[in-house]
Amino acid sequence: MSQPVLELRNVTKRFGNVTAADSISLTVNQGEFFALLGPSGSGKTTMLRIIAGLEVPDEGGVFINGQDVTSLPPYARGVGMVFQNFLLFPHKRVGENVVFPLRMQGASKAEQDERLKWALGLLRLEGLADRYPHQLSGGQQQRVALARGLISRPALLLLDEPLANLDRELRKEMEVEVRRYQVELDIPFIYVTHNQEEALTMSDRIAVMNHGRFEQVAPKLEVYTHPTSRFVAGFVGHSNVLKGTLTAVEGERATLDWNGVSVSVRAPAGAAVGSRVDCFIKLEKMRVVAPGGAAPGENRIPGTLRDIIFKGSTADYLVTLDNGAELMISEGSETMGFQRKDRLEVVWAAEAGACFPAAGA
Amino acid sequence: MAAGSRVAVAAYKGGSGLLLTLLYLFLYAPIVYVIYTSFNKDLIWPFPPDFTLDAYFQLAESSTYHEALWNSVLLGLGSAILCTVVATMGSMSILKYRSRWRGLIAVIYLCPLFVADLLVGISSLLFNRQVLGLPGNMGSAMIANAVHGTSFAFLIMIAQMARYDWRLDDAAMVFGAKPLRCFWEVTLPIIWPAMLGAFIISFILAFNNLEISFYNLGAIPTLPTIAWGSLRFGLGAELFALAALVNGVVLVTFTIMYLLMRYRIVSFGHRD
Repeated sequence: MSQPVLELRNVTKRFGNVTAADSISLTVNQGEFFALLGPSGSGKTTMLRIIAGLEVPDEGGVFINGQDVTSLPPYARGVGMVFQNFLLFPHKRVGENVVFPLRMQGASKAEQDERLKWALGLLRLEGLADRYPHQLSGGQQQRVALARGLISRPALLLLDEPLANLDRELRKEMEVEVRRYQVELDIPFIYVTHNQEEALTMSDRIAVMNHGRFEQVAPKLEVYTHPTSRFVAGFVGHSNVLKGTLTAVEGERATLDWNGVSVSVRAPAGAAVGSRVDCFIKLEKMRVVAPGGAAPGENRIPGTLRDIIFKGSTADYLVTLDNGAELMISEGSETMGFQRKDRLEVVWAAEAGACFPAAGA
Repeated sequence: MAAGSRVAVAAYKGGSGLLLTLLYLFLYAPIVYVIYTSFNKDLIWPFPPDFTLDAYFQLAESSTYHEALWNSVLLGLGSAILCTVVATMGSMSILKYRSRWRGLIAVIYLCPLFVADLLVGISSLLFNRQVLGLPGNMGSAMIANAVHGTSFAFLIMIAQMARYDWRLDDAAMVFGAKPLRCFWEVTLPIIWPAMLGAFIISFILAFNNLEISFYNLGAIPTLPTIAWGSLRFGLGAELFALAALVNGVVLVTFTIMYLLMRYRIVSFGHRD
């Protein structure tokens, strides 16, 4: 295996008595799109600033292409960065903004011109080089920030919530574009976001961060389908949470008493009869069916349809179960002709979802 | 009812207008009077007006005033450069590094504003001579004048720079700019209007100052010191002309400053 582009070894950073990075180790490889996903205050921006050299870690080391850069200032690291709010230089024109990193490196005028042309072309900014940032739309400013981050062929590109200030439509569009640039350039992108959809859309691997620690680092599909902690299960994807007590455990399988209904679930690690657990089942893993019929290995709970939230390609069914609990089920919108107040059954496979010891248990 | 309230609104507007006029009169009547008088033959009771430019010719012929003008300009420039540099460094360090003592540090920067000119003048003189062994000269007058000037300049800088986004410096550094380069490429081009404002204010303060300059300059004349000195021989016509000219220059300077600030957004191609 070739050398990782970025390696963090036991990086720790404290601000007063808040630990923003708690002994973090990580490697990111050539051509990888790596997302740091976490709620605000989880320490993900601090991680990015440590990699950029804008913060110095209290302990541990940062290595770029095998070189120890822990004590190097930001201007000696050769990384690119795209900031939240873009942080374009307001007094410089688009062209001057984009070419700034090359000028700082002392590149020749010819090289500057050639790279500028390349960057403006890549990001479809031709014709805007003489504008000032405030004369651009949000999406154009975003692309200028990307062009500035990419122009000097950095070893890796850091992106700090770059799409957070864009409206929803534009964000969807940019998600696809950012991923395209990354694939085209084949350099690692480290992408900080609190938005799970962005992380899932663009990245190869995701690190879910909470309280300065990595809760899970894995390929995105695995993070989505096999969360390894209660936090990840609750943070990634949309799930129904079934809180209850285990009444039986047989190997992989366990039985959960959930508001008086027995539900078959996957046994959490170290499960014991009587322990309180939370089971997370993704909305799309459940289905609504007409009453009647059953198959082994399935959970099937009767209820009444309370409402359908139509979302275009999908629809969310809100079902009030006979035990009083409410579930949300995501289905294709054209599936069945259920009406409000219809009796139906909610069905899901016993192995769908993941259970963890209840919070505080 | 409606008519009644309309009258009330008109009265309110009229009242506000009158109050504003009175305030402006309070501020500017003496200055306007001096300018008006400088163009008159009779300086004691210039009514009805009998216009003449005699005062200005007298002023133009007096070589003492020429030398004094040059000294005042020199003093103003030296002091203003000192003030602007110190105030810029001070406000930058307070805003950029956000120490938890920054409130106290800012107050200490501003305290000299509350020390009387006379005291600054006398104490600078004593300190420079007794402790540093410096003679009274242009250099020590520049430094002494920069005491008040720095406080004013700091006040202007900190108010303007509070809006500066220091993350721009982070961006510049990540893209390869060393700290000095970063200041030159990013910070300075954005904050220079504030620096210009601070420079002009501290220039005018030092240019117009009497007490501090008087104690620190020894025998070197400046416009305020010879104006004060000539008062002992009565109100000369050239004093009126001088006062009118100085006020005129200040007025023009402030008009330019106002226009710069007003249209900065357009002419420098960026907004916050």
